[in-house]
Amino acid sequence: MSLRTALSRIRRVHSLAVPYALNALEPRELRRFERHLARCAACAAEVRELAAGSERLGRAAARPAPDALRERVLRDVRTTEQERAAPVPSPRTSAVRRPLVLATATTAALALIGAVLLGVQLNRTQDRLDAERARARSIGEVLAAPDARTSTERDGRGRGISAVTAPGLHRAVVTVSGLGAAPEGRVRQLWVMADQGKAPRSAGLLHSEQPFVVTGLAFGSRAFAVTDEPEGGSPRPTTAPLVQLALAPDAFGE
Amino acid sequence: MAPAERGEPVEADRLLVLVAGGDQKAFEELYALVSGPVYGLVRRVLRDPAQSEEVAQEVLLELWRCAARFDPGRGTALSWVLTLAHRRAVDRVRSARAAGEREEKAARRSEGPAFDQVVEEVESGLERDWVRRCLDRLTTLQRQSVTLAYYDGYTYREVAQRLSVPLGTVKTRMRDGLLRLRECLESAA
Repeated sequence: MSLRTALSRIRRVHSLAVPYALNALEPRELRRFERHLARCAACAAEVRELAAGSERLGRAAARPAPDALRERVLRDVRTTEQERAAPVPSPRTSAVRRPLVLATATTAALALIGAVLLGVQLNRTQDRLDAERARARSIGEVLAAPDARTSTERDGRGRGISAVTAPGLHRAVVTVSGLGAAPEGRVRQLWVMADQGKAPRSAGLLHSEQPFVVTGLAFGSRAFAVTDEPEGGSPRPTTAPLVQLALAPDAFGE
Repeated sequence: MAPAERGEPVEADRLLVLVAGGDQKAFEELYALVSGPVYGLVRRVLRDPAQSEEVAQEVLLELWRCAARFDPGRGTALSWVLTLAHRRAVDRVRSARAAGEREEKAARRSEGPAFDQVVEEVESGLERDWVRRCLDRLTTLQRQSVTLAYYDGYTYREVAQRLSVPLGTVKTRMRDGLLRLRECLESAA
């Protein structure tokens, strides 16, 4: 491919930011653009700017929802389990990647896989099985990512946190150890710490010491931290971190 | 914009974090804030009240199920929720079109000068008034490109076809339309 063809191809992909902001791409182009978007900071900025316009169109369409809808939604919520894992990747990609996982995984990574498989054995109801499989698949993808890196931190009291980060996927698998069970009425909450001046983002509640998938990691993610929070979690950390792990300065930078 | 409206996105962000942690009470509060925008947008795209209710129900349940996917670094909770709602509604309207159900009706609609119908249908309300006023300030081609895509769920290729203009032109008009819309609304706030 000549430089000129390559450049015009890049320009063509860039220009899809506009229909993307209006959700007006066909599935094939949507996938293509989203792959590009993950690597293109300029596109992300443009999408954000344009999407602000479409968001206003959306808000302007608001009208009161029927009362019956509320009843049905709240009823469903009581019986629907929440998803903790990353979006489920297609089974075909993971089938291709799995042998690679085993070939390239570090000992720590193998321990993670073992923990996940054990989890699968222990939770045999179908829903749980599906959720665990999705999680295992997502973890497999992180471990198999070409840019995956492992880091670990442990304090003198045997409390540890380790992470496998995959910047290209904007994901990481975080595992804590030696923290023991949370006190009555408290939970452990995982945070993504960003550059100075930016608020920490909640990555979710840790209900066990099993590997936890963190998604949507943006550029500028600097560290993970776990705090002790009241039941249900907090919008911002309210206690000092129990464990924390700094990421390499270039892990989620450009 | 009324001060109360300004406060909502921030409140929705806070609630969504609690919902991600499994808090059902927080979900009820979040429902009160976002059900109107979700239902209204879905209804605008689908038009049919029964189908709209069904899709809105799916979206609101998805909000509960997938709350942990929300990334405050990428925008407000309300914009995330509206994106989910819009995607679902558009998926539904496109598959219905593909199945040919709406083909005839859509063809009939496009005969008249009905592209701006959406704008006419917009009811009263502060936000709505401003959006309507700002849409009126766009050129016809800008307005049609934006509303055919966003409110009628057409892909940009379909929009180009319906307006008989090249793909590049449609993208440019959409871009200018969105930016002018945003600029106009910001000066209104």
